[in-house]
Amino acid sequence: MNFRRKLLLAFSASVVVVVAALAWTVSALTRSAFDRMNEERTLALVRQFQREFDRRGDEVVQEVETIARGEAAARMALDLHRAQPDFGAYVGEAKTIADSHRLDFLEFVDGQRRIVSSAQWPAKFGYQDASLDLPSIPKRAYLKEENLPQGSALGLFAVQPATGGELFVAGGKRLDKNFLETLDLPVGTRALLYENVGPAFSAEHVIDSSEKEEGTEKIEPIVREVLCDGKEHTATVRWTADRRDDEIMHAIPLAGQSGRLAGVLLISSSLRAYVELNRRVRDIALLAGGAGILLMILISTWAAGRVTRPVEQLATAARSVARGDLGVKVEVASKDELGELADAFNRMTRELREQSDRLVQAERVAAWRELARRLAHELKNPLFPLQLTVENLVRAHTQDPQVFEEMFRESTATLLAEIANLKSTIGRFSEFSRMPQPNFQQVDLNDLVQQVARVFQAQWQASAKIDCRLELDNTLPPIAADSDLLHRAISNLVLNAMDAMPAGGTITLATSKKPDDRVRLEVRDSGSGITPEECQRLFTPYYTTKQHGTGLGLAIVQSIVSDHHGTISVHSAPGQGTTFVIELPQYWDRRKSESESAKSAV
Amino acid sequence: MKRFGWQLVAVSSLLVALAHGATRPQYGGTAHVWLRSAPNSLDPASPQPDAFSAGNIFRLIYDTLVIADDTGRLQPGLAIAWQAAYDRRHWYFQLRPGVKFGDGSPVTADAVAASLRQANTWSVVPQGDSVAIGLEQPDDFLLAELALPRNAIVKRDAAGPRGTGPFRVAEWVAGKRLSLNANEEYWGGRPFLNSVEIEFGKSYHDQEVALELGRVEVVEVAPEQARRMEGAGRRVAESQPLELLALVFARDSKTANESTLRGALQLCIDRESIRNVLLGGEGEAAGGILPNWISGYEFLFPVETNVTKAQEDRGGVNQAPVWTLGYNPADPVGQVIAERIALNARDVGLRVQLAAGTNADVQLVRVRLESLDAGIALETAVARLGSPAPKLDGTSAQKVYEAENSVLQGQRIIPLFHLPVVYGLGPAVKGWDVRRDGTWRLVDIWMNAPRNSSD
Repeated sequence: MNFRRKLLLAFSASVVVVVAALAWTVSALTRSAFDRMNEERTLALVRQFQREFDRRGDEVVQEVETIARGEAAARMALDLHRAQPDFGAYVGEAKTIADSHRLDFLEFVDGQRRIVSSAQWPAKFGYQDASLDLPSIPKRAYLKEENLPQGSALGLFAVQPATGGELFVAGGKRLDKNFLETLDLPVGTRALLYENVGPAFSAEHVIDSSEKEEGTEKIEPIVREVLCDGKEHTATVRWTADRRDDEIMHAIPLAGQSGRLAGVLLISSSLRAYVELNRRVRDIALLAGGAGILLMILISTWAAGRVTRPVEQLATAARSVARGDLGVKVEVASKDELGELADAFNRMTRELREQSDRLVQAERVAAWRELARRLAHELKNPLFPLQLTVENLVRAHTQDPQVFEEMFRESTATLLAEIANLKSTIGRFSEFSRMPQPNFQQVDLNDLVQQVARVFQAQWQASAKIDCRLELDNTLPPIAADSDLLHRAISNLVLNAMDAMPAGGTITLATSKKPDDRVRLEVRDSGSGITPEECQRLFTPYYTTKQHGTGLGLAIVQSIVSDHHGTISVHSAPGQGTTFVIELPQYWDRRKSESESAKSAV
Repeated sequence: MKRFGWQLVAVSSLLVALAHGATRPQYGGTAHVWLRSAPNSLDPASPQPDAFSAGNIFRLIYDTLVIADDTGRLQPGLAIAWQAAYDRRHWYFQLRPGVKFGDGSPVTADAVAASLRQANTWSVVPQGDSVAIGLEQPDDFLLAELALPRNAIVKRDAAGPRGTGPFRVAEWVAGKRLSLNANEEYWGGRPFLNSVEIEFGKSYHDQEVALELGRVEVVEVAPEQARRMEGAGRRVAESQPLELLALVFARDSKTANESTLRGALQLCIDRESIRNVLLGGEGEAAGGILPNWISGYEFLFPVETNVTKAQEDRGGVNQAPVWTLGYNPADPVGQVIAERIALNARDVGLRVQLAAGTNADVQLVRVRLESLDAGIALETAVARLGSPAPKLDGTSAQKVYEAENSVLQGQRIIPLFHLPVVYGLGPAVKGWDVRRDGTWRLVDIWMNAPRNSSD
């Protein structure tokens, strides 16, 4: 992973962490505030419910008192004193009176708790009201379960004795939806009332102040908890898969007559606002995170560009230097550490270039000296016999003419031989200096090797000391090469091998195909071999291990192989012969195109 | 002193004459009548939801061959004489001469035969001024059948049904109003009233208020309100108990347990309390479908409440179904009675849930008996209660009893009460004859202070 990506990742991670932390903090604070608000709201609603409950209770007590003191109750009480009271006269009386006093429940009950007239269940006349505890009538209104023809209902009841004391009036108002609707409910809240009037939980006994369509079965657990321990409970109710429909339910037990749990008040707060706010926070966080990451990409790209571009330029320049291009220079665009680094790099390349120039100069001087030394050496060898011959000839001139004649013939022969030797030496130097550029053509290396072998065949057969072996790979592909130059290089190596075996031996010429699309040529001799030190210096121009060598043969071979984009190496050890290995690329098409482009350029 | 005495006699005679004039029948005026239910149509052969009320209306417009008086005796109607063949399958009716339909066309044997064929499957053959009725089986109830309003003689044409009754249809707004004018050519003599205005769809309460305000002369009164209205000084005319209030199961009992439970329900119902309190003491607790005054044997069917026996019967059955008890929501007393029955049932461990409407396991039903003939009354009542028709092998009380007993043994019908039909009358109505069968005789009444229909 490059520096730019690392920088981008670090920046993005920082942004995400910061945004996430911020979002979590906001969300937690929101939840806390919502809980606090919900708690206050629930408390206010409970107080409101209690006030409304008390107000309704007072109303009921007042209405029941009014009825108990009324003419109808008095007439009924008088009638009850008769031997056989006519209940039929009062069947509809309670209903009529209840309607006029806006009571949902009204019963006239005699001293034996027999119902004289019932508004809520007219057919119940003559039956005993078992729930009425006449000896201990509470003065305030209380919650009571009332049996009705269609089931049971929860009501707020009050009981008052009628004038005369033998008749009691029990009236009440139902805790129904109308009651809940009188509560001033803030937006997002609703009140539910569970009437604990059946043997088991039933959704039918849940009164809802709202028009919410979901079933009320889901509040069963919290209602059960309240019914079980008689304490307040709070729970989150999930109505649908959409969390916005969730509600926090606060359930409060409502005590009824003689301490029995008559119902459960449920104050519900919608989590819609909270969930939507939370989602908004999340959306904003995501948006901010995304924008932050985008911004960080831009910033990191810019910053990384500022930091890494000079570094990359330095790396590119370093690679150029490694390839030998010491003229490369890095632009110094800033005055910071990177600027100093670039400046130092430029100084380094400049010094390297200067050192290289000096080295080249020194090598050139050394080469000239070596050349001079070699020339002097090469020229000095024939000069000494020339000098002796000329001195002998001068001395012989003073002697007998016959001797002189003889000396003259011998001396001239010697002079001619040495002069020829001088010409040969000068010719080789001249040849080395005039090495031509290769002319690439499709060449079969095996054919070339066989041609070289045929050139030396006669010489080897004449001496009868050297045996030649050819190990040629028949699957060898054609290569791009200059056949003349390559012939010359192989010939030089064969000559070297012959020189290395004055007592005779075996020369092996082998070709093979390498897996990396290169061809390999080996020239092995079975001579005395050379030391590793000699191997290292073997291709240095003018270096020779032979007594009369110029040191240019292997240098010419290396030059030819280099011009063919190949490599040459030597493997040898004293007493084990020497092997020269040439490896050449086989890209005929490329060489051909290069050669043609070179020709067209020319 | 003698002179003063003559003057006193003269004034007294004048007052007596005036008083007599107030009770003496007089022609003219319009009687306004309000009813709860309207007939489906003015064709008596069509099925009617309240055949009793419809029958009263049809009797104003149409005549039958024979007429049943309020004792059940048959009197000549459009037939002045009749005779049955020895096989009791062929009957011959001689038609009253000179009777005309509302459009002026004479009542012929052909018209009578066509009318009877419309309402029955009998073979009716006109024979000069007579008609012959042929039956597949001997039928001793034929005369009582012919007295039913649905067998009234009607001339049916494009203008609608026409009759020969004391009144003719002036206007008919289906389901709302019926205006009748006196038939000047009525063979029984022109009615005293000039016209009758009947309005339908009026509740008991609205009818009572209208009567109180003097807007109507004749209204229906709920039986349980009769005593109260009498106590308040209103004129009330009651029939003998001829409306059956009963529980009717939707289907026959299928198992022995179900029969036991139905028996328990029958035993647990406190008819006494319901009658005394909810029905205002009106009517009679019923053990049979027909009241005793019609059948003469109703006392044989038990009506006593026996909670102990009902509890024992209930205890003998492991699981009791929850019965739904349906009632007519437009009948407030019926609803309270249903509630009371549910309470009584609960006392013995039966579970009964109330359900407004007719889709219930057991229904609280009111049926008015359409005939004073026990056999006909039993047949029509059982048919209206939705049970299979009883098999009547004869007209004797024994045969009718056996048929009724057979119906009751099926435990599909639990008779509760027989209630009278009660009418409230305005002070101007005179000559109202209290009839045992609850039928009207508007043809015989007159108005004390006649007023026009436009009043």
